[in-house]
Amino acid sequence: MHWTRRSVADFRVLAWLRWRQWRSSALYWLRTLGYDPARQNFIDRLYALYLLLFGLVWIVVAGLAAVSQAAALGRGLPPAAAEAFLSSMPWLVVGLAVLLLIRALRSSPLLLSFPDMAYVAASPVSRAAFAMVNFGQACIQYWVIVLPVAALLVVVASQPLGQPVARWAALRAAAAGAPVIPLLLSLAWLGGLLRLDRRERRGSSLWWWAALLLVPLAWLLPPLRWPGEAIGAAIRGPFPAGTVVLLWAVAALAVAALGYVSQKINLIAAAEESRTYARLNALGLMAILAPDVAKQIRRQESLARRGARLALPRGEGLMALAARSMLLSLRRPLALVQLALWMSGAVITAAWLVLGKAPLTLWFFWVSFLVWAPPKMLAEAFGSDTAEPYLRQLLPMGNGALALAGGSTPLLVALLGGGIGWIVAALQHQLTPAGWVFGAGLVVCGVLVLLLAQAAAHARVGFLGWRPPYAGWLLIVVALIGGAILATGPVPGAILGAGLALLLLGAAVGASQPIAVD
Amino acid sequence: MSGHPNHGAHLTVSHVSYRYGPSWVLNDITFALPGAALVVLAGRNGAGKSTLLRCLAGWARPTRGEVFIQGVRVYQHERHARARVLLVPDTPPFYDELTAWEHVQFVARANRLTGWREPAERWLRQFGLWSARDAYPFTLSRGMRYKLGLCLALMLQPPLLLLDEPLGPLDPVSAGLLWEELERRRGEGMAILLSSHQTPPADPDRYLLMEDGVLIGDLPGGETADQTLEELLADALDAQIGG
Repeated sequence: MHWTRRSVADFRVLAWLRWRQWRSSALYWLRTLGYDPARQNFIDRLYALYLLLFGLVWIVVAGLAAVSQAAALGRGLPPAAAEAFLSSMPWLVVGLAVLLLIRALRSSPLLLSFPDMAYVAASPVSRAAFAMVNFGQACIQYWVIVLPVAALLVVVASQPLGQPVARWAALRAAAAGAPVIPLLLSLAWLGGLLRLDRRERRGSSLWWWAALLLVPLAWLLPPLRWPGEAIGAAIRGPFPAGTVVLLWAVAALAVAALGYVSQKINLIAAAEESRTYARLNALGLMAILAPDVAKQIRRQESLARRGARLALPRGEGLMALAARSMLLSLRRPLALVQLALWMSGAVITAAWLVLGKAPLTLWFFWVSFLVWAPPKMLAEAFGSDTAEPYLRQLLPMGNGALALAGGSTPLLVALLGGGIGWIVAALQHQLTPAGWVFGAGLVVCGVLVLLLAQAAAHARVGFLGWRPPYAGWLLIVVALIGGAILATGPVPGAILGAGLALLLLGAAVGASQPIAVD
Repeated sequence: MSGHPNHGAHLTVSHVSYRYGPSWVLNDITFALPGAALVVLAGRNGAGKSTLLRCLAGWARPTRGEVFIQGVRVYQHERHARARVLLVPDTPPFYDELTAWEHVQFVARANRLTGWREPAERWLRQFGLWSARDAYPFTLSRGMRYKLGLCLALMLQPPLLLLDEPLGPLDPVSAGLLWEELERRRGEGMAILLSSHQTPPADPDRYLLMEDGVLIGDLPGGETADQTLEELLADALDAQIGG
């Protein structure tokens, strides 16, 4: 089977379909800004022009500001940094190739949405045309996202090389990098589609390790480092036009090979491996507006792929909650590590702020961080229990016990992470034994406050006629501690404020109704 | 503890109304389940069946009226009342990280139940869930998930069991098995109120018929043996329109 007239016709139809999908999402966003394409009077057209100009001006101004900031940052770098960046360019490209290949080998690079599964995969449309349209879409996405970011990096790194070199280095790098994207993507897709064609399901999860072989291969075979070297040469200038034309030619060959291989794609296999993508795609705007839903979908798919590891430990009553907490946590080890690191970082920075007598503005940023990026895992199980009345009615204990026992493993890990952070901070600042104990006590209080503040928000506890969210509870705590410090001094104030906060939050969660009704 | 004069009743619903936004979803509903009973709550889509069940289970607070479970006022003594009632919604949610069997284990152990393993295993086998016991519930079909929800509720043996549309997601064999189990539970003293669009596999003790948030019929099951649920509903609606 070869590319026929029919394949070309299918390609055009599918490209048109993608264009219409892109157009309808663009129109959706325009509607959110008040522009209705259905109305075509003078004022609406003027408003569309205004939006277009505003968007263009915003992009240009933001781009220029970013370039200016990047250049200012780069001027502070030593020349050796620029040289190191340029000499590592071939390996950066090899690294990107490895990452793309790993992604393509772990799951199908050709991803289908639910409508694709229903109408495209089930139709006799040319598989190669479908693959190539999706490949083109992927290339455009990478060009739009990766090239500007890479160009900004080049602006930073090229400044120490001096003005004649640095002036157009980013543009030269982008022009040289443009063919590298379809080249690397097509090689990754080739690997991914060949694996899909073999459909060795049992060994499929291990195939991606093969991508790591690219690193020793690139070490042994210098031609594999050639694309990165070409970009490095473009940054140094003058622009290596001949090399870039050759890069485009090699990329075209790789894309042609992809076109040939894609004729044999098994779309059933691709659809099976596209389930996560399809579910996220079906969310549409919700994926952005409700990131927790998208996160839950990813978590479910990951759990389903791995299967149920470990067993529920034995335990009755509250111990059953602790056992569940352990099992839930051990099934998501990465989240536990993140929690420990989060706590260590928060404690080290807090200690630095206190002992370094940092200005109030830095405190503001630290508290904002606690408010906007809390360690959600602490009260995640409690959140699941209270979010669904059906699940909550199956558990006979009160909310206080449920929050503490249900989140016992993350609580212990957070205390461990916070403890390690405190040891590091205390050693750095050479504290007295009393200082060690005082700080350790504050770490324990802090972790409990974070857990209980989240639990109070999940349980929708009222406070003076208001149902504060997590951020609201945390700000109440900050106000309590701040007030106590102002009234009684730093050390007694911190102890008094933390104690009051724990009492308030503990009482609020403990007295809350298992199922909050409006 | 303030109670209702009818202490012995499993459930007493007294002039319950519920407003959602500008519209009244329930309007002056009054009935009682004096003792063990198997009662079907029937009505068309939007009649207010699910909202009524949510009010009875203490998941939503009626705008007016009172609900008593075994003489305990639900909203004043929420924790006491909650131990006496369980509602299985039409799509029960589950924990993402626990398998079907781990849900059974967890709920049984958290409630310090004894002798739960053998009956729980029997229900899972009867409902065809045993082979999927190690699967995560989010990978199961809606019917299978409902069966798991039922197993958890049956295991806890509440005096009052509320089921929202249990016959909809179940296959005919499982629906028959569920009905047998519910009849057995009624024999052991449980009061069961279930909502349904479909004619149940056998006659219940009573039919409560709803339309537009109003109770339009309260019929004993035995006297309606020759009529399907659709016919009963149609008659009640005709009578209401005629009246």
